[in-house]
Amino acid sequence: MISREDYFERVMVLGQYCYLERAKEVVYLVMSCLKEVIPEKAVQDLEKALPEPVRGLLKEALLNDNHGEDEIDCITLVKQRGNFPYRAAAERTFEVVFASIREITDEQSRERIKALLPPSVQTIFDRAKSCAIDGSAEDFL
Amino acid sequence: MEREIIATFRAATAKPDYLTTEKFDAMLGGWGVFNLGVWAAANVIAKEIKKGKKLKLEVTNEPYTDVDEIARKAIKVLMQCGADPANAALATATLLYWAGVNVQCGIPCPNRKLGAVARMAAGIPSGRVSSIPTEKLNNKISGFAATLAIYQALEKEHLAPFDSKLLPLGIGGSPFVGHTAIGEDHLFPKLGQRLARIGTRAMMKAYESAGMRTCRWMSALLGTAAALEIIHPDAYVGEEYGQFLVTRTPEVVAMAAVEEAGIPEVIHIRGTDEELRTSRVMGDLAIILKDSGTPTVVGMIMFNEICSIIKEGAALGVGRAGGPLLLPLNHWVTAPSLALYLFGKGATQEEIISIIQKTMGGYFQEEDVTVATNILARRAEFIERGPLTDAIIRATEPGMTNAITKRAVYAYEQMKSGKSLTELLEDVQKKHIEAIASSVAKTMSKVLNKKIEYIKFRNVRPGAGRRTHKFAQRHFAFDAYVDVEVKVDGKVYEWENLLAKVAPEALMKGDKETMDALSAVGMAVTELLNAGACSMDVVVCACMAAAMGMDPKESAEKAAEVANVIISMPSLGLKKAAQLASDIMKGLDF
Repeated sequence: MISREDYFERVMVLGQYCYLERAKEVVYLVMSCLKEVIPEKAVQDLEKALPEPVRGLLKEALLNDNHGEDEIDCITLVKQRGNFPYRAAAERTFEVVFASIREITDEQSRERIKALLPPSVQTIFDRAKSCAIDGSAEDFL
Repeated sequence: MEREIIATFRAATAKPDYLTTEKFDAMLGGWGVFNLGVWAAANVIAKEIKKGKKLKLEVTNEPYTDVDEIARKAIKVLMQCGADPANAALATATLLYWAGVNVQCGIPCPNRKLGAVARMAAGIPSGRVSSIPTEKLNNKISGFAATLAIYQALEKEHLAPFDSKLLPLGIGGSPFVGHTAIGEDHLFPKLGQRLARIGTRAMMKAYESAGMRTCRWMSALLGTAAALEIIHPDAYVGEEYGQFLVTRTPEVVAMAAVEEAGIPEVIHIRGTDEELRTSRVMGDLAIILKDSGTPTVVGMIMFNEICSIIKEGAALGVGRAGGPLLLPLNHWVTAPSLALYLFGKGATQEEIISIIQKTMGGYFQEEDVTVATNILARRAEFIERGPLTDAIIRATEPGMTNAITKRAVYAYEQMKSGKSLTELLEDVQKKHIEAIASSVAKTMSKVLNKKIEYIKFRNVRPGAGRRTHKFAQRHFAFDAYVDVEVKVDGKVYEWENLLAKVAPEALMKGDKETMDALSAVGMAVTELLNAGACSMDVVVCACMAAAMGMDPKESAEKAAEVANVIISMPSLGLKKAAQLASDIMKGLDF
């Protein structure tokens, strides 16, 4: 199992973040917003489906259940709470976190996880195969 | 709305050139500039993105990729706008980079590098860092300073981290060194960092020695590029420097250059505050520079201005038109460059508009800058329409309309109440100068971390006495007379004939106290000298006078004579706009 520290470092690389703190912030932000828009039962299922250390991070993420009507889409929630200047930057945050999850899960788990996510981010989960800057190792094949 | 106001508004805004003293058509010949080509190329790239073209250099088994095709199209439009092929290649590679294309990928074949993609699309030979000039900061130097110092060091010292004579026979250029700990953990990063430090230091010294304030950014950039010309420029590096498949030699080499030049480790994007690792950007841009051919000084000005989307640009020397100064418009490409960056990231048009509007607040003269950006976007649309100019026009049109209308209403009311054009313009020019002084004092207090209580221009006019030629006596930009008073941290400085007497004398004598105090007013004086870049104050008044019955030729000439500071150069647009205001007024039938 990958340690939390190594996990955050990988998120930092995938997102090209300049600080480890930023990597932590975005992971908790995504987890907390997912928790907010997914029904409680699905959150429990998602916790089971996710590998450590992400499972623990989802559990720890604060449930800040006070969003307005126009914020029920979790990308909008992340954009507003993360103070992102444009929506695609919020989507990119999901892509980074999902890419980090994909890297530590097998295909079966990925399918389970994807099915539990809100529909608006399921496509992001698919495209988040790898967002490493220099392309994935698959590029060489 | 009064008919005179409508006629004035329409005449002043009828053609983009009317609101500036700049010569927009000459910009299309590549004479000193090709910024409209950059605006057009940014639109070309954005349209290709919109078509779904892939903005990525990949290790695919094909001779050409989408990026090659986009580069060819962008270079074509740039060259049509007067850009030298090498300048077109560099501008294209840099725009593509900010649009989101990675600067390199690959193995021996295909080994794709963005700078080389652009250079080959332009059909030009490769260049060398020693032949790359810096942008012009009054004077300029070149990468020769970095290259010279590096080769002198290579001759005097042994810089590799091992005794090269010990390398076994027959492994030169082989993976035995290049793809193992010898190359990736030791030779490339350690030698590269040493070379980059030497090159960066030499550049900084050369800047100073040639009478310029050191440009830390360009020093580090050419120091890095010169180092990459020697070491393996796209090797992977040991894990201590960064993760496999992610970090390569350019970033590692740039880390040393960034540190040597004292540049912050993190920089930000203007308008969004997104954080970027400086060494990553520096390494990427250095490898683009190294591979793009041999740009001219003009090409390097454009290169730097394209990169002026970096928020810290003004402080570091990454372009000058991104703010806070209102420079001559031939520098300006920050708005299309930023819009392209956002477009490449997937921002919507509404989001781009909002961010572009936000950046207008980063200048000393927000209204003038909004108008200047608007007229450039409108002129650029003559060359290449596209989503970026569309967004920039939408972002600036409300501000432009507001600025011109307010001035037209004011001019109408003043002239209606009996003021002559001369009285009106004396008042407008005074207010303009005061507004610059106040805005610069406020901003520079923060920048210098000093309390600049006020800047007061006591006397500002053409004719400081350095020149006797009539032309210089008439136009502020050629022999400016400035008396100014400034209060900094409780101390009052009063200077008479600042530019012709005080500043040169203090500098020649090495009077540090005076020169330091001048930092508080230097930008305000520069704003005055560049005021003609947006001449709306003068144009609106002249148009109003013409609309109210004054002979249009006379109104333009009188306006230029009275407002001889804020329209510091002669302007053909002023005459044409005044004539048009008169024509419109005569034709209105309501």
